[in-house]
Amino acid sequence: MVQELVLEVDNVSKNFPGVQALKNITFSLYAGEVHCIVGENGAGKTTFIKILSGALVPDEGTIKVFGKTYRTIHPSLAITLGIQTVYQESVLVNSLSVAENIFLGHEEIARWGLFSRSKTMERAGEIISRFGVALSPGELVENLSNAEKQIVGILKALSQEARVLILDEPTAALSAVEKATLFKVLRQAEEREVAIIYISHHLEEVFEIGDRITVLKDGKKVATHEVEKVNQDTLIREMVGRPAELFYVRGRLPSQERDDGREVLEVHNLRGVMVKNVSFQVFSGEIFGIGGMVGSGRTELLRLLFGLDPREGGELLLNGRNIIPRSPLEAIARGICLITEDRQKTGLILSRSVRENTVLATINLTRREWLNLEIEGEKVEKIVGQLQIVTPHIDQEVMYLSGGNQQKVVLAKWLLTRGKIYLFDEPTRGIDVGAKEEIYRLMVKLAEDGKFVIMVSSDMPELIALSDRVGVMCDGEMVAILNKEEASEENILSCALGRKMNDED
Amino acid sequence: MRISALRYRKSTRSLTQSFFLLILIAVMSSITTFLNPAFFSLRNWLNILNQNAVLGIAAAGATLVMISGNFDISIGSLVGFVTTFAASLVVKGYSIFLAIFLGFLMAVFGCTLNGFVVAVTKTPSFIMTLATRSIFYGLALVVTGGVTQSLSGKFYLLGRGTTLGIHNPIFPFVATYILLFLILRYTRTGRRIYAVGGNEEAAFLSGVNTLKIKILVYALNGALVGLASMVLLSRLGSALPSTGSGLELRAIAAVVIGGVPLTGGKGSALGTFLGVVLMGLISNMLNLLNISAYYQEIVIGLVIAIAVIVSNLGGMKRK
Repeated sequence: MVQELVLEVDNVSKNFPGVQALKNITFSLYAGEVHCIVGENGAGKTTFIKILSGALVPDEGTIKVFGKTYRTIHPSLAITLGIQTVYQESVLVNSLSVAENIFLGHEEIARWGLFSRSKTMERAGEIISRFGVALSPGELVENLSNAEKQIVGILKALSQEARVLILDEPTAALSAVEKATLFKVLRQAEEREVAIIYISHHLEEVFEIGDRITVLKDGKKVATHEVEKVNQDTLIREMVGRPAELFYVRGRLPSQERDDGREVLEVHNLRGVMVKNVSFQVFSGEIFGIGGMVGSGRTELLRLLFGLDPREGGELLLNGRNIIPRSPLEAIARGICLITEDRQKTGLILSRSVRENTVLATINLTRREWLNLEIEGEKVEKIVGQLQIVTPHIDQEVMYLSGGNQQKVVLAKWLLTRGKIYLFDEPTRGIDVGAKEEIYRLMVKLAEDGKFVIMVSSDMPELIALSDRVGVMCDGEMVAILNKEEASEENILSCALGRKMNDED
Repeated sequence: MRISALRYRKSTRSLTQSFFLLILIAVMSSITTFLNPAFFSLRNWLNILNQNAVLGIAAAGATLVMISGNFDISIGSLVGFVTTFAASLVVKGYSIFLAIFLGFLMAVFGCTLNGFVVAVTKTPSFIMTLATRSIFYGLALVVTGGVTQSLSGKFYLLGRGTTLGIHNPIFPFVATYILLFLILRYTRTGRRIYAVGGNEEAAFLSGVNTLKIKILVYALNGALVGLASMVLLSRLGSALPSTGSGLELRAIAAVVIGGVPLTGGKGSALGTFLGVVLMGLISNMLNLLNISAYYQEIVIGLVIAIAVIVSNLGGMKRK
């Protein structure tokens, strides 16, 4: 069967300050196929679909849609061309019904004149039954499950005569049954000659629904495969492998033996939101990395350890004593620090000064109500000097600092609390290379000073180079704990993708 | 890579807003003095402070609330309720001290209630205080039955007396701003108020009890509303449910002119103080220049608009 070529991407590149997100991507899409895109976190998948949907403008290259060549595509052109994107969190209006959401914003449907409720219901009903979904057109979207919302998002896209449907991680929050319904809808769409671009972290899914698979790696296309002619191992191999010179080389302590009386931090059967029975041990002086795909429960694990989310069970034992906190304040008092992923949103008070941000956690640990600005200033100056934070003076608002310096202010805040346990969530996201090295050095220094360092990272070289051991999470479980020798990119990735170690091929 | 780390702008702290206000005040004063030399006398300045003492004390409370990222638009009606309540106790024959004490307590209670609901239920404070605004006004109507409650000449010292030639309301007014300055600058409570307004989640993650801070901010606001109510009651010698109406909007205006953004997280005692003085200055100036009071509202509106536009332009440059 000769299929129609719907979309051709030729040599598209995209740069962000300091990073080349996409390099010379060439990509084709035929009508009626599901073309999956796989790759690690940060491989460029999201950037790629953003270019196709018009949210980003490529620096180089062209996009050919139905034979016509475009330099750039803007969002409304994408929709005119029939390119529809359904994002992870579908943009639906909760207070409107399913039918109203499906037809929201494309008035050409209402060719009967004014908005007609009955016609809208009728048309929505048609579409819903055409795709064989159990949904009531009159139901309010706020009453729907995540899966149903996802499906409404897809139906909305399909109702606009979509020729290309782009799905970004559509099953991230879905159960197995819900996934089956979603796939049913996708197959229906496929039969209607809709071309689907499907991004997923789950390789089984890719093999179940995909026709072709393209592997992205560091912004470059590695290969495109027909699904019958490839297996999971090949894909994983292609997803990893990176030039070694990007690695940060960590100076190691001479004595890295386990049993020399080092302190032990033990996470025991921890359960909570998105975290299922996680257990592991960390020794003082060690950096324990946590790998896994986005949404595997890594951040949630850190939140539990910091007393943020309700805990369903489990303990955090420091030298055998349970210190699991019930609130951030309790966590801080017990020496636990959380360096969050998004420093601007959750780490800093941007409108306040370096001084105020730096002491914000410490002031909660004493009973002193009156501040001694002079002593405080000396303390802040000292740590600003130690961490080499570049700021004209300590009363500068942190919003004017660079990303790396902002992150160092966050670190300074936690260092002043003299914590024992440091939880890092993506410590170097959005930080330039130079500042990255400095952050690494600080983390290694913490470990050398006998602290417990636990780091969640999606950056594989970072995870491997920095960690003494790597725990890998998948679907809320810690599926493997790899020691230094085992912690290769390939091993981490296969665990993160849900393959057990030692599986037969 | 070092170069990008060095990329920062010069500090634009809230001081710039105060500086801008000082210049504005200086320019307006000079012009008025030129046109009417009576303006630049100690007596006239004391007059300005005296006439704006109630607004000033209420604006200090509003500063705390707004720095924390919240609003309280119920304070005007709360003043109405508190003054009528205290006055009605006096009318019924209770001692003036008891009346003042209970009135003050009512103010603290009313505002704390606002804060409690806002903090615990996460109801937007604007909506919540819109509701209590109506409730407080209704309570004032119930208490008075719509009739003016007169103190019959008692309790005039605080509002109308003078000490060493200085009007008495100026003392609590100035004391309030010294206290506000100390809280915001030298206490950790102040730090936490800024932090909650600047980024509530980051504050919480740094161990700040954000719930407690929000309730505390409203409680402090209540104490200041109570104080303002008593100064006003003493000055007027009687109270009506409409006593204090519109105070909330003038207080918010002064705070905004003083440099607190509607999102909170910034501002200073000096800023709000200058905001209050500026608003008082405008009325005084127009009076001295024999310009009809009708125009005053227009001029005050224009000044608010200019102040907000200027501080927004400052914010836009940053992006």
